[in-house]
Amino acid sequence: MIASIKFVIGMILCAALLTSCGDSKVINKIMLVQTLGFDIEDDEIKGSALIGDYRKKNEPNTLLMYADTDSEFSVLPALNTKMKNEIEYGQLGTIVFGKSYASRGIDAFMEDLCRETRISNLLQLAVTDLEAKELLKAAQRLNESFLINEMIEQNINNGNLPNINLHRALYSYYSNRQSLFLPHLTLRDGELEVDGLGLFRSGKLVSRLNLNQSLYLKLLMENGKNGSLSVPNPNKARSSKLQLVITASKVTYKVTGEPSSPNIVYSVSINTKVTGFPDLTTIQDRAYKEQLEHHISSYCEQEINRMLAALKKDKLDPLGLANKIAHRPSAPSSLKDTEGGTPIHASAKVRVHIVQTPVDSE
Amino acid sequence: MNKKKTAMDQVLPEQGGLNELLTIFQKSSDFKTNTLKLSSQELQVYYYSTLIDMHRMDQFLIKEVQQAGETYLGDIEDIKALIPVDDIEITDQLEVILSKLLKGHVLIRLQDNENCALVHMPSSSGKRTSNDTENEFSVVGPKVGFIEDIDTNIHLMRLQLNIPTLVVKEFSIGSVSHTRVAMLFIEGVTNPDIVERVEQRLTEFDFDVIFDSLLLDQFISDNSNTPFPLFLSTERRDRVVYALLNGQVAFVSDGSPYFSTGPSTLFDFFISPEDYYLPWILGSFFRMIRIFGVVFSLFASALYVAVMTYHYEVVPRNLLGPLVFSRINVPFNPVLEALFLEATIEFLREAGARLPTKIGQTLGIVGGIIVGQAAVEAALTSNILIIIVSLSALASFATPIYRMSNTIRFLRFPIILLSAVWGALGILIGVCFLIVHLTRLKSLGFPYTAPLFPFRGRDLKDSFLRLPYQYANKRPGYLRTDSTIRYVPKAFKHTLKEWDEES
Repeated sequence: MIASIKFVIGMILCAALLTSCGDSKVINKIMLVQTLGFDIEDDEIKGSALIGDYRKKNEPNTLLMYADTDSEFSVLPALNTKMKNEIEYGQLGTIVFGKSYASRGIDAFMEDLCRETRISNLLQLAVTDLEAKELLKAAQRLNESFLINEMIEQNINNGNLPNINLHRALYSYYSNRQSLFLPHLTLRDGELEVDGLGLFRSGKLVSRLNLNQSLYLKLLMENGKNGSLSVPNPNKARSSKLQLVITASKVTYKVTGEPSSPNIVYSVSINTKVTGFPDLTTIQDRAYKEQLEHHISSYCEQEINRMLAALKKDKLDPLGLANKIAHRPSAPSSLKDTEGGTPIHASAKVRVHIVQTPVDSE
Repeated sequence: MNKKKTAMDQVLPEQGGLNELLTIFQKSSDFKTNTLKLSSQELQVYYYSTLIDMHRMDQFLIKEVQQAGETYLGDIEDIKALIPVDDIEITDQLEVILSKLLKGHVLIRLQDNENCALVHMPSSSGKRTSNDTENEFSVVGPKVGFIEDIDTNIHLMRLQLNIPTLVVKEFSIGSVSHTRVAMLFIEGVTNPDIVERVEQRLTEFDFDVIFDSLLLDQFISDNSNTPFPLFLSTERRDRVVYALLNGQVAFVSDGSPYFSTGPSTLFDFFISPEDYYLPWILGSFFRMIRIFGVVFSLFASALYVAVMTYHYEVVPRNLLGPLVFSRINVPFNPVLEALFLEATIEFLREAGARLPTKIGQTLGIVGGIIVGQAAVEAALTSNILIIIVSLSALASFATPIYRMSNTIRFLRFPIILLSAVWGALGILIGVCFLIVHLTRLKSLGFPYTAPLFPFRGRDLKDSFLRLPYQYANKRPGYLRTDSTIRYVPKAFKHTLKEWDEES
């Protein structure tokens, strides 16, 4: 008995010596940074942070703090000098890169992020064509420190953005052949707006996709059940655009062509609701419905192929086409050594099926 | 052999025999001596007036002797013909006389003869008449419980286990109390090794007074350095019957309304008799709820401490506001806050258990609502922790066996302390210690964590879930019973088909 008690006490003491006590961060004694923004001006990093303030019941408050430093990593220590409580970033929801910062390159930050254990994969990275602090100011006006993160999540779940999070972004970043893409935000009439995707090459922002193109990218990347799209109306007498709401989509691809010049052909099948279609009786006509489906399919196919050609031209590969080929045993050895956007030819075939038309579309 | 003297041995006179012994007894004022006269003889009657039924003595002893008239007793043995009582023992053994006199026998002596008769006339006063279950209440099913009288308890068992193979073995344990202890098992079902082991352990230890069966538990258990109960103790008859039918052994001491059954496993403590009276789906569901309650009760407060102290990053965003605000004015660390509230709950429980029911209820309201509200108002604790601690206390009471719920409440404290030192890692260390400790425990030599470790898939039919009776017809394999099949279920009839045929 005494021996076993001694053993247990010994074990506890050894464990205590080896691990020591944890570094405690009591939740009400720290300040939680929830959105971070980075801009650059004259080689000086302009950091801005939205910090949640929960001192008043049912009255969420958001603090916006600024820090000008010479390095990305000095922003949080610089913010700490202005706060009563210690700044912590375990609840960080979004990091927004301003245009100036993203154009110069986000390498330093990405290298650091992948080693940060406190940050979860719920973190979203985003880019803007403005200054990041402008976006943070807009979020602060609404007193919502997680606003940007929630907007991005909402657009991934219900809108046109493809599924992306910190881990996927890190994977794209560290993959030599795949281009990193991040949600793109802007301000319209002083209000925050998600307006597409920013594309990176070698850690630098080089291009942008609009919301429709984001949806095409989404359709090629994953089987989805959301997203909306405007398509020209073949019936010119009526409204000029048809609004499609995608209810389900499925994508497959196959590699064709010679091993030395592979070609990836995507097959995308889309089930969609059509809104904005005025004449219900017409669409119930089977022949007309097939004609309309053919029209929409052709339009989407054309647009997707146009986007793929543009990406190829810009040597951008957000879809990871080169990765898909390089992993095959028959891949040309030159491809395995190639870095950056590899000009792999890709095309898509689209088949649209109209599943539902709202009665109140008039 | 130089054996240490027990309390009883010290009473027995080394010389002088029965007269010396009676002199010792006569020091007590309730020890009475009486002389009954036959025609030419005198019968000396000795008894403890507080231990015997005076009415029976008047009717079956004094009255019968007075009416005997000219009867002459050649030997004390002849008294059996005179007194209409079945349990009469003739002896000259001082140990027997000493023991029986103290168990409600009347000593009858013919003149100064050493040989004497012991007539059994125990008083039954002081025993309660109601045998409803008091602590292990159930909404459905029988409410038959045990009382403090061993004969009544065995009578209750025999009423339900109506077979001659129900064996009752009785021992006298306790050097001062000489308490009757009965061991029950079903011959042909229970593994003889278990019976032998219990019998051996019960008879081998020395203790002065056996107050309750729970004392015996501790003396014969395989490991006394564990907070876990290694025998299931119950006041419900159906539980004991079920244990015996499964091949376990039950034992009870006189004066205890609790039977102990073993070998027990961890699962036995989360089984409620109601599980068997409800349809298997409901029974299984509520059993799972109970097991979840135990896990919740063990770890909820510790998780709160770990998350609030170390792992703020895992708090869901929507909970950040309420959690931070609830602690904003609390001056203590989360661990002190949690320990303060846990201790308050334990105070309330201890106080409630010792007070009469009506006052206990008032105390619950005063403690639970007023003190809780005031503690939040005074910023001694956060209201979210009050909810967590109350829920975990509630969940611990969902365990059907009181001793196990005590264990769970006790284990919360070390786990909270571990979580305060190392956060989630501390909780994990606590869980590892618990698992290692549990897997090493044995009840009467049988593994405590069966059927999970060692794994016995077939015995899982009545563990997390309670499968339908047509599938759960075998006794647990780990008990190695003499007979494995409890009953043979009838082949399942498809009632819908019958209906179709009729129509």
